[in-house]
Amino acid sequence: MDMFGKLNIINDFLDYRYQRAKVISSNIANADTPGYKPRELLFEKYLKEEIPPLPLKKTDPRHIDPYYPPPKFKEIVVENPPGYDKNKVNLDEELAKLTDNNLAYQVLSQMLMKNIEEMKTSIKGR
Amino acid sequence: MVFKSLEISLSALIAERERMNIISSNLANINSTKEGKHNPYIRRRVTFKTVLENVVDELSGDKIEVAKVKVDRIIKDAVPYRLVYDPTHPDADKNGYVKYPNVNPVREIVDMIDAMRVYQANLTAFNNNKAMIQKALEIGKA
Repeated sequence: MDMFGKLNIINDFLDYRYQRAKVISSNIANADTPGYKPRELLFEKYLKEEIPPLPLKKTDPRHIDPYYPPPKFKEIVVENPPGYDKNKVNLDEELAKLTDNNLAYQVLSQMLMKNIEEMKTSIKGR
Repeated sequence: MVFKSLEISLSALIAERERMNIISSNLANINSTKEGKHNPYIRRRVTFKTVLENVVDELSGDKIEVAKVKVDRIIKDAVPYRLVYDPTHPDADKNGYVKYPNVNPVREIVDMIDAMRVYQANLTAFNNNKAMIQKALEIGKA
């Protein structure tokens, strides 16, 4: 593992929380849109299944494949049990998820700050 | 969700809102003499079910059982219909009686207040848990 390995992991999780907040916000924004189904962002589950990126067509053997950074998250449409109208956004649930997500983000950002502080201490010495 | 305590309160919020929907339907249809073809609207009621879940405590390793709640079934109430004598009503039977829904407005209002209070209590629990988690974050701060 490289020197900043721990920071990179926290970074990925922070990124996930940040992107997920956007997904949940768009669910809340579409609470009145007819026929809208809520979205959810997957992280842990998606990491297990790897999808190889499509290769480019090569007309010369010296052509090289482009580098695609592997996608970390996957957005899915949630199929809820049918409610009373066509819209399936549950406002209570989305707001609670937003709070939960927000708290997790705070925890992670503090972990990141602590780690950077540790590193600074080891650079400067006491 | 990451924080189980929030998830428990949320399950109650969802269940109580569902109950409130049913109460509103009952009140809205208090005079509906037709549901489908023949019979009037039948009062609905909600039953709740406990959803047990085992959670392993991170610090002690103990297994803790948490109980969430879920709407189990929406059943039709078996209380008999209200019969009102009104021979000119298009839905009157041959003796001149109209079957009105078995909805009692007093009961519905009492149920509604109860649902509202339970919702409020769970929302308070949710917010208190949130405040606790935020306070816990201050432990790490220098």
